[in-house]
Amino acid sequence: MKKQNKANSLLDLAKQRDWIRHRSAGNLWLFLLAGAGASATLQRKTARAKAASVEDSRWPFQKQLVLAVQRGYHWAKGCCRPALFGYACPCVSQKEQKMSRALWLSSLSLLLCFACYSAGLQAQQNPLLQLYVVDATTNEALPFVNIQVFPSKKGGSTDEKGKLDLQVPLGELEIRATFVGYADFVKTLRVQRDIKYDIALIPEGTTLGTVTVSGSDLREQLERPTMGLEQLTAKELRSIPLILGEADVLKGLQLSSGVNSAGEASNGLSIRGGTIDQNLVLLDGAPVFTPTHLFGLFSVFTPDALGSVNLYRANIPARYGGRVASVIDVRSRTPSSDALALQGGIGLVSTHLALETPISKDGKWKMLIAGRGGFNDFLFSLVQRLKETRSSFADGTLKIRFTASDNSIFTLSAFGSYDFYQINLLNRFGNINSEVNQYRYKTLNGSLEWLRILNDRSNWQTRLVRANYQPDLIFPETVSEADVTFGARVLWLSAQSDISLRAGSHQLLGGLQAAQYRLSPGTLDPDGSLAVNPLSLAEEQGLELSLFAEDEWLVNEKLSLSAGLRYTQYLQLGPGEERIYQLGEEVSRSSLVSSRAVGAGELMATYGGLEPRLGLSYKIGERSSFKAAWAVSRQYLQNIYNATSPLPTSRWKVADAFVRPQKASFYSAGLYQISKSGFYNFSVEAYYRRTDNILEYKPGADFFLEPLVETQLLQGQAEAWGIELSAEKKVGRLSGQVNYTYARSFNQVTGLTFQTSINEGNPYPGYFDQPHTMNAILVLDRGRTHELGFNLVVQTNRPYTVPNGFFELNDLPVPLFFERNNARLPTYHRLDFSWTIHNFRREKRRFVADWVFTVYNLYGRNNAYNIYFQPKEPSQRLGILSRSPFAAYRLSIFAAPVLSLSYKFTFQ
Amino acid sequence: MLLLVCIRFPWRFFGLFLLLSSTACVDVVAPDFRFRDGFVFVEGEISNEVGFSRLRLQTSRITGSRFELIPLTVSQVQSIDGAGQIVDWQEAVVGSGYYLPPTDYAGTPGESYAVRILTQDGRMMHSSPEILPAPVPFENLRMQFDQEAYYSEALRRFVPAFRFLVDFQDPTTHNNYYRFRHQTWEKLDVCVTCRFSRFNRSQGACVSDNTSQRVARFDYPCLGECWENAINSEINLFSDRFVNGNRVEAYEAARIPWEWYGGLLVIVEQQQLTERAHAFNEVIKGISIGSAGLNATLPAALVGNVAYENSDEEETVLGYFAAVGTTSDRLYFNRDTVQGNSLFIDNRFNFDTPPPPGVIYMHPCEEANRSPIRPLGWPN
Repeated sequence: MKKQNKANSLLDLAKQRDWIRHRSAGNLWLFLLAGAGASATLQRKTARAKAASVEDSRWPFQKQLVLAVQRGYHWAKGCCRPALFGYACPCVSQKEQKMSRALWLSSLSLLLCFACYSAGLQAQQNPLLQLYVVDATTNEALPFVNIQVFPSKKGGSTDEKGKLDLQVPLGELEIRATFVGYADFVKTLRVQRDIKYDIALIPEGTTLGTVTVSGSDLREQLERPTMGLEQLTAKELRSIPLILGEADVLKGLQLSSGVNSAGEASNGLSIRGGTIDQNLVLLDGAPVFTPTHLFGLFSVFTPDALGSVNLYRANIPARYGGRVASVIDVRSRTPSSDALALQGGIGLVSTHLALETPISKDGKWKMLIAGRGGFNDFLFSLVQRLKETRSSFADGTLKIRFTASDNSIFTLSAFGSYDFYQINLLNRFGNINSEVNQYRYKTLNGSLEWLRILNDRSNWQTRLVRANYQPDLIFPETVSEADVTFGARVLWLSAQSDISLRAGSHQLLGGLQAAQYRLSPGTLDPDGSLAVNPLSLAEEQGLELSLFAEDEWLVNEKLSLSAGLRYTQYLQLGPGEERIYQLGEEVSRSSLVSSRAVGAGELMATYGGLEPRLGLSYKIGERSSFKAAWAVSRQYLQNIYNATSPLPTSRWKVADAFVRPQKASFYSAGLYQISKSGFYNFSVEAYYRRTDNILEYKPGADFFLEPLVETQLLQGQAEAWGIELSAEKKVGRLSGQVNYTYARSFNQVTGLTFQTSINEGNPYPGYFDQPHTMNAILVLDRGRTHELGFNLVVQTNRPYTVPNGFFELNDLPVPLFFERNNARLPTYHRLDFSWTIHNFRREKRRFVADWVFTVYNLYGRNNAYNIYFQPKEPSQRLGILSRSPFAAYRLSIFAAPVLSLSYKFTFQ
Repeated sequence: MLLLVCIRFPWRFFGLFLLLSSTACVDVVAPDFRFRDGFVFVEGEISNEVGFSRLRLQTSRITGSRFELIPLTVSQVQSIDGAGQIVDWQEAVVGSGYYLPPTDYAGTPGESYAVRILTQDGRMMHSSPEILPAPVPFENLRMQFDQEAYYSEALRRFVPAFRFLVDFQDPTTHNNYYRFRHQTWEKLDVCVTCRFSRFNRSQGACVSDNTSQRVARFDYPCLGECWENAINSEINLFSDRFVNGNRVEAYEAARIPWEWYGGLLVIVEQQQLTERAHAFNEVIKGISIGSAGLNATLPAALVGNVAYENSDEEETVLGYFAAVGTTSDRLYFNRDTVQGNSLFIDNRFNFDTPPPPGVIYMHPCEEANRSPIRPLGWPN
């Protein structure tokens, strides 16, 4: 935003220059008057002009006047150029400088007059603040924007022309502008007289790429009691070197401290040592249960519809719940264009297109529709081994915004994702004669949001959400037309309503949420095949009722607090089966004593409790702050898979009488520092998280259509801790960040017997225990044609398990394991590169296109995804395997540089 | 077990082909171990068929950096049925750790069996009782040739193979758990092959000398008829969870790649397991051949149904002693009559023919897995 403001201020000055030039060509008096006028204009523009006027605003009005006169004159000569701090005019001749001095001396005679004028302004107790709000991308006026001015308690909504006039007190004021679909705008102004001020709101995600974090933004970050919040903008996403040219939210988040990939082709992220399903991934408020295409190659979010991405990994706001590690809140962008706009691209893997348009003449209805598809799988047939392989995917986003009145806005969001993948038969199932496995998984989410602006300080928001996820595993029979299908479903319905209120130094939010989980864990449809019988596991149903309240309180200039409290009550409801196992014995089929059918809606199990979320920020001087946070959260829905990584078909499970919900307590503290120039910020954060009731699996656990799933599960505790160091520069042509994290995570599962314990009951490294991680990103943006990006990741790799011995079964060597995660994969490191070629000469035309060239794994590091043990082939009995009955195999996903080229365009 | 796509390609390749490249991304690396001793491994079964019951005892030993399971000789091995009848088992060969019941011993379906092992230092191990499942007969054992039966990562090609199919009627009465095993008999033409060496009769082994070092191989025919037995290590498990009571047709009980010529006798054995034994075998399958790929099965301890009587014993017992109901059938066929293409067969023998009047040395049929006796089912 600040960069945009800076651009605006430069534009203003340029206009001002012309204005002055025209008049300076006339007589001196007019010039001086113009200079005075320009100065007054400059004063009004000061707040939104960053580089030049931030400094200027501290100077006496008279000096500004002279500066403005000088600038105007020098600009008039056409020899000035913008410089990092203000303007440089190297070509001003001595004569001109003398003239300038003469002008300066001449103007002194008028200073008293202007001083009187200035004094008169200052004498006003309630100067007029004239605000004008526009969309930063289109420059269109934005009506109905909620404006609040602190500490005056003044506020209101902009009219249809985007204007709002307010009588405000003298002094330093904070202006907050909020509008659905746009990033919040906050600015501090010193008001000494009537002032006009323009606000350019940034649609979430669309042009956030143009945002440069300014010193004041950093200062705001410094003051807010929010920790562990990472925000990713559309441009940052575009700048990251990507695999196969696909914009990727999840890979972008991996640039942050404490965020690790769960593997190069796995289905999510590990946040601070947590597992994949401990992250709540939301798109427009609806959970996305499988957020990746092609088993994890890239994320499902439609690239052209991507708005903002917020990752909460410390004191998660109380309005979020249901996961113990993090919340990844992805928002699609809000349609804001008053004319047809197109953007899209053609990549090696997919093609995508977005259309944004008003759908009513009065502009109250606006729509964004975007889609992506990858249907290049015919190429698989060119490789013999992959001749049975098929792969296709698609995703689409629709967003419709209806501004019903000045204070009522409706937003409908819909998202769909589809994947199909066919491979040679890997998993034999029953006696089905099939040569291939087909995986098909689809997401269809929708949400309806109603924002009601109650007054200038409060609004009321209600949201209805429906998320539907359906994975299928298909076995096409070769001897018949039957497609034997295993299907599952997760249906999530939610209603949430909250009220936000600004009261003095408090920013309050409170509300309630009711979420229903309806799981179909598995059905088997023979489709006419005689090889299997139809089967349907009982549906699981849970209801999560939550009340939440948050308060962000600016106690004084140094201290701010955020206090949140969430109360959840979870109820597992029938229909279902209540089972009783022999007390004191392992929960297994053999210890099952009895079972009884439970009727629909009947309570089967219930859990609940308070989830406090506390944070504080204490400023230490002007450029430093200390923050601390504590958060408790619970998770009632879990993904279960007895493997290194979940598949899209992996089973989801609600908490029940045997599978207790996970509960995490998270503590963190950190120090934050901004450099004197405001260009750099540094931080160090430490955290500790204890999670109860994590899930583990009995030896050989199999959840596929298993009715007694609790007999396959174990539960234990996990601890994670770490320290994260970060240095960042977001300003200038060369920007980037460097992060280093030392983090550990350990699990412990103690059971009654050897079989119900993991690692014999001793703590063992978690699956994402990666002690050292360093990542760095560097972006060189020359501003016109080329943008270069580099991304370096160096980290300790994930743990894996090596055998403690072996035996031979009919000449088949079988490894013996007592321990879990007792070794570590070789160090992971990778350098990526991206190069965006932008045709700046076409910037003002309707059609603009960029080429994006990326190289993932630039130097071809052969990073291990896993090392596993298999019987040796006869030809492998020598060399490194000579003393081993097994061959150890290192599996790499991208063991060579992956090049990609894509073409992206916008048309409007 | 999902192996998605691995990419290893030179820079010149571009585009989606990057995604499609199937060249090896799986490298062989030096295996790492965290060897551990102090455990006993038990593997055995009681069968309803005579001659199929056996028990193998091993214990772990680490010598330097070398790990091995060595035979464990114990003081006493006894099987006990539900009626309390005790049968003593004897070590087949002293020091081998193999224990066998009396030669005419066979279990009875529906009866409960357990094993009791008394170690030489006076400690007692025992298995939890298992009810011997009734065998389920299978029928119509037949061979079906498939030119592209499966893809071999090692050979980097589709492999032609013979699929052996069976039909059976799954009982409706209770859950059934099946394990299919198979073994083969082949008639040998060559009983010894010496590579870059020549067979030395006095030493009874291949010995390299100046002349043989330059010859890739010398073959020596068998003295008389000789058949070789191979026991397959594939773990083929089947459960009737989804087909209970159905007739199961064309179940693939065995698959043998076409890599040699001539006649082949295939013996298919079907075992009925208890649910717990089936689960144990699933674990073995998972950690031995199911550990590859992107979502490999997590490693698991092979804790079975055998434990020390005193649960405080520090020594861990791994393995399983099962009661199994066994049925078997055999099928002979001649691979030379099959229409299709085999894997490369190197049958260009190079007999070590001495100059006259010498005669070709013929090696006796004497290996442990060989027999001069025509196996049952091999045609005359």
